[in-house]
Amino acid sequence: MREWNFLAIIGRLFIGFLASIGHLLLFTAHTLRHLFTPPFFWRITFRQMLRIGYFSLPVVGLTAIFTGAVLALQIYVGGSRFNAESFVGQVVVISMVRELGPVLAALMLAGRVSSAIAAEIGTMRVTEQIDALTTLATNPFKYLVAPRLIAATVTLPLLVLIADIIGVMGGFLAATQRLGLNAGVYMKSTIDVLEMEDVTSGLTKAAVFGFLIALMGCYHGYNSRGGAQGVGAATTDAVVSASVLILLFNYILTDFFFS
Amino acid sequence: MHSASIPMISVHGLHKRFGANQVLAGIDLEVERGKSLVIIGASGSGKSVTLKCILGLIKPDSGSIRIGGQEVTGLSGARREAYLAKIGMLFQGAALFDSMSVWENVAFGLIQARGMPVRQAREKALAAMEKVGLDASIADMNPAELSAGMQKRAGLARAIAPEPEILFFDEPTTGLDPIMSGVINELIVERVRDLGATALTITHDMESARRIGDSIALIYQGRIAWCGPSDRIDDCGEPHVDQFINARVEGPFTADLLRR
Ligand SMILES: Nc1ncnc2c1ncn2[C@@H]1O[C@H](COP(=O)(O)OP(=O)(O)OP(=O)(O)O)[C@@H](O)[C@H]1O
Ligand SMILES: [Mg+2]
Repeated sequence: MREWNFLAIIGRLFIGFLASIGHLLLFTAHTLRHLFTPPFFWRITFRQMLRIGYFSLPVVGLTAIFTGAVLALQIYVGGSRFNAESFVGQVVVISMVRELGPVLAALMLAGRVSSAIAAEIGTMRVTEQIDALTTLATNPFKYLVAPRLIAATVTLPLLVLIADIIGVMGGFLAATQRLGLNAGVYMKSTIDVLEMEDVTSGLTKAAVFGFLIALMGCYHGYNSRGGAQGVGAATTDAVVSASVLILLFNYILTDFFFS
Repeated sequence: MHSASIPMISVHGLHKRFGANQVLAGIDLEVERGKSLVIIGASGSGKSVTLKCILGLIKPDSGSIRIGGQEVTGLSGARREAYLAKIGMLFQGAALFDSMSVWENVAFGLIQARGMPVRQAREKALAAMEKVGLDASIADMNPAELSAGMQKRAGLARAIAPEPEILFFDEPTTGLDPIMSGVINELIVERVRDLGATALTITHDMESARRIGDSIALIYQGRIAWCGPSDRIDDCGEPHVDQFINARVEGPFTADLLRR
């Protein structure tokens, strides 16, 4: 009988997994429908943009400058093994703009923003504030979910653009101050190698990641139940699922831009 | 058909089960336009669930719910919002929005659903707060800074501010002192008698039930065990009602508990 139990457990897990995917897709479809139909709550959206974007600047900036600097040092070490030290600038800017800027900024925001959204909406759910909103003839998808999704999707590319610039500056500082590379040559090689497609692909990723971050926060918060413990679980789930989805979609998008 | 003959709220065969817990097993209710019904019943008997089903916040397993003659179960989108706009609801836990000040809470329905200008809405909100005995000095405070009874009254002000046709109150006087309870009872009576609203109130407070209810219904084991005019409740002859309103320890409620 034991084998059967084992299969049954796997089967149940698999069905549960499919069910939660279906649930999430329904939530997403519902959200998208309300995203594009009035009324729009612009003031709330703007406030969310400030909260998500402006107040994330320090953490994203710090992440970017250290990553850029470390990148310069590591590429120099690696590059020197086959006499390619002069490529430091090029490699830093391409890896920063195409890959590390969007992914690292998004992962930092998954921790900072997904969790905050899940906790806020989750608390509103368990204290019946979402029910109250509904009885006041205000759709929670329009009032709570849509502003956060729009704000995150619009703001993350802007943040990433800033992170890219700060990251390249970090690489520049490490290269010129620590490695003694020529500043003019470094800058010129950085600018020459950069193509428009590097920037657009990175910013497209950022927009998708921003959407995922807000979606996971809203989804887990909206469906939380069972008091403070439920809100805590929703917060954790939001951060973990947002992070995993960011990495998954990072691969999918990279593959897409690659071909 | 003449509209006066259609009950404002009419619920038939409402069933709801949570897992193995059959909470509602065929609730039948009718409230005439401009009348006030009070629902009483033991803690956990499904009073709040009944209200939430009528509001569409909980999806019933089966049964029909009509508001002003219109079937509302399964309504969505703009049509749902249209029927919700007729209803004001006070939640058992007040459910104030903690991201807003007290007056913004009270004015929320006026601004969001009615599109009233903010200044005018603030004035109306302050007037509604005054009606429930809340001073204008707390208008800019955060709901978390209020006592439980004050939160309850702010929730009440939020429910009545848009002057809806239908009012739902989940334990409006719980946690209030006797004087304030009296004020709230009078307020509900005024809404119904003078403004012609239809009210559905849950309460454990029998004095309040008699004061505000044209009729009273007792929920027991997922059904309405008794429903009748509030002045007939003392000699209704229903043993459950009798035990409930006289707060006796021995009676059919406790006997059923022991048998289980
Ligand atoms: N969302 C829910 N999920 C699961 N069970 C629920 C849910 N809401 C209510 N219940 C159950 O339904 C039953 C009735 O709950 P309800 O809140 O309607 O009680 P009540 O009559 O309002 O009691 P009280 O007077 O204490 O407020 C309870 O047994 C409760 O456990
Ligand atoms: Mg209740």
